[in-house]
Amino acid sequence: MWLMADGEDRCPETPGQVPSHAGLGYTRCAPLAVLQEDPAARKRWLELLTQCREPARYSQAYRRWKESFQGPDTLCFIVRAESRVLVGHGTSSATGVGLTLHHTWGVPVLPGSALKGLTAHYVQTVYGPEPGIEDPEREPFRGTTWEFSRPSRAPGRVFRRLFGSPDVDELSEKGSQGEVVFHDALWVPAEMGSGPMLARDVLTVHQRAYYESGGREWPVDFDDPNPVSFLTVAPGNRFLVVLEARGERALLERAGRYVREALESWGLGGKTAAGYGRLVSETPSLQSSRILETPALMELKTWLEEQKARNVGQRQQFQQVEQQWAKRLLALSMPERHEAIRLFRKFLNLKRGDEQQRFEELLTRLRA
Amino acid sequence: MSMEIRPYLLHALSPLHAGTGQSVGIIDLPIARLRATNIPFVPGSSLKGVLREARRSLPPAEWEALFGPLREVSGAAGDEAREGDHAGALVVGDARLVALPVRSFLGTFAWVSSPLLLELARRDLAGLDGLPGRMKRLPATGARVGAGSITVSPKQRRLLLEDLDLDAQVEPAVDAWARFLSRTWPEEEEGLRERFAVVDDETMSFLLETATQVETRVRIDPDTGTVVQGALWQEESLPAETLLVGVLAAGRSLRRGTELSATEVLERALKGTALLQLGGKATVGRGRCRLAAWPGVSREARP
Repeated sequence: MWLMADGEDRCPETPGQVPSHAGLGYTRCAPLAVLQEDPAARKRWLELLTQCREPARYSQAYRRWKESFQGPDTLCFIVRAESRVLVGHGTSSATGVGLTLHHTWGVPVLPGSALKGLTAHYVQTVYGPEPGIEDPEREPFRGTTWEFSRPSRAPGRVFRRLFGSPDVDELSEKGSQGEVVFHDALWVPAEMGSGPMLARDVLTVHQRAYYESGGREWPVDFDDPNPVSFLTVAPGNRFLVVLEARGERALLERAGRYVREALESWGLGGKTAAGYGRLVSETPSLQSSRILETPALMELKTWLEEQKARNVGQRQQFQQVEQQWAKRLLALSMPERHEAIRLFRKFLNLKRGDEQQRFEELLTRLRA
Repeated sequence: MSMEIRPYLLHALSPLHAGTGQSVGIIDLPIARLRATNIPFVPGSSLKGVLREARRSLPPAEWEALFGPLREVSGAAGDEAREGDHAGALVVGDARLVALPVRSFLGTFAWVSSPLLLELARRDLAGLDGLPGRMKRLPATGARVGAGSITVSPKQRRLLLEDLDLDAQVEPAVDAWARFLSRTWPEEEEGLRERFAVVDDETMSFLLETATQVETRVRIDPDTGTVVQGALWQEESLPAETLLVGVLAAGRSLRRGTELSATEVLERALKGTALLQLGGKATVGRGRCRLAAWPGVSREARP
């Protein structure tokens, strides 16, 4: 660690220069005052690091990376951070809160190991069986059972194919490698006028003595608040998620769906309980997982549900759609119209005749 | 018998973990290094296995001629002479580090090499057109950079790597090396030239120890959401953008009934070779590498 005295610069010729590698700046050199817990120095230093910008020729390296993935064995999509992202806060830095950045380029990155770990955890919790309950339908999604540091029960069939399995014992199947590769999700180079890569963040500990003593001292109202500032990845940054599986398109798409779901609903990295790490897929997926909730759409949905509850015939329902809704829906915005199409597909099932044709025509007009 | 030799450049697109599998040090999973010099490398056996898998689409006879027949029992136990046994025609050498990307206060990172690394590379690259001459040892701690380097400070010409400050001088040989290495990678010539630097051997051996990528990984208990007791480990890798150099060589096919010249063997081994996955931790995206042979062929007669 390079410790800089008050007013000293790492590069004295260019005072106040922003390090061109944010990760190097954050982990290898810091003003001495930061270690001495001077909040003003800490703020100045972190503000300086948030000014880090895209390195020269990074966009070339990114393009090279992106173009190296082609063909049916790979699945790429871009995710956008809806909130701050904090991966690797346990690693060392002068602030005591770390941040994982790309080692060579110093830009934010979502490590492949984090993506894989999150997805595995998501799949076994959401799709797998409840602990202690045998459910044949959910059995394929069971995760590996561990007892301390030893695996004690092999995972289910689907889980094993997605994430692999360790050797358990002589009775069960041998260990195997997961069929899906979770690559590091590289940071997508910023467009003109887009926001910063990194942002300063603050967490305020109110009962420091209580936490530090492990509960031996009582938390009381007159403890001083203790702001701790650190760096996080700013919201709005985008990442290229790349998955790869040789000759297994269906498995690959399934994995892609799980990654999307997990990133959106659970979030990646640390402090997800406080809303950190939510990333939303920008490439429209096969089933749009985000549901629009505008007044017009809500009304349409309620109306369709009512019709269904009252057992109105499909043909009759469609005639009412044509009379009451068609004009109104055509005046809506594009995303709303897409959502309306989704709703119609869900609720209306016209099997033959004139109505079916008119229904398809209406959907085409909505899509145009 | 005449051997045909084709040196190649291995360029890591993601971190490369060619590990040893165990250690007694702080890092639980360190990378493989050459014993005498501590230079990181990818063993030829590792690369040959990957090439063997990547060439599964070849006709079986040719595949066997290139890589040799597979033993029925692996290891020493299967080492028995069999009818029609032959050696593979392809020889795969170790890929040795030639330039390590080291984080830099200016210019983000520098591709750092040293006279020793370049001298060892020169052995592998001997006979190629335009190979730069011997790089003189640096008399003291310091660095040499090319004319247009973006990693040195504007006035005092200092190279600020990790937590090391080095005085840098411009030397044309550095540019020559960057140009030579980028012949396998023409579109990146400018990028390599402005970041290529040569430091003295002592500084390099310090950087080989301290400037690799070390990640801390954990296993999280799905029931508690916290790290499992004891499931925290550190993993070392060569960072993305690392450059390594090695040699592929070939003789004619030794398989009975399969006639292939040395040139044909190399052609088949390298056909469409661009992207390979090397080393460990493949399913979390480690070891994605680009392999490119130098254009032009050198011949060597073996006594």
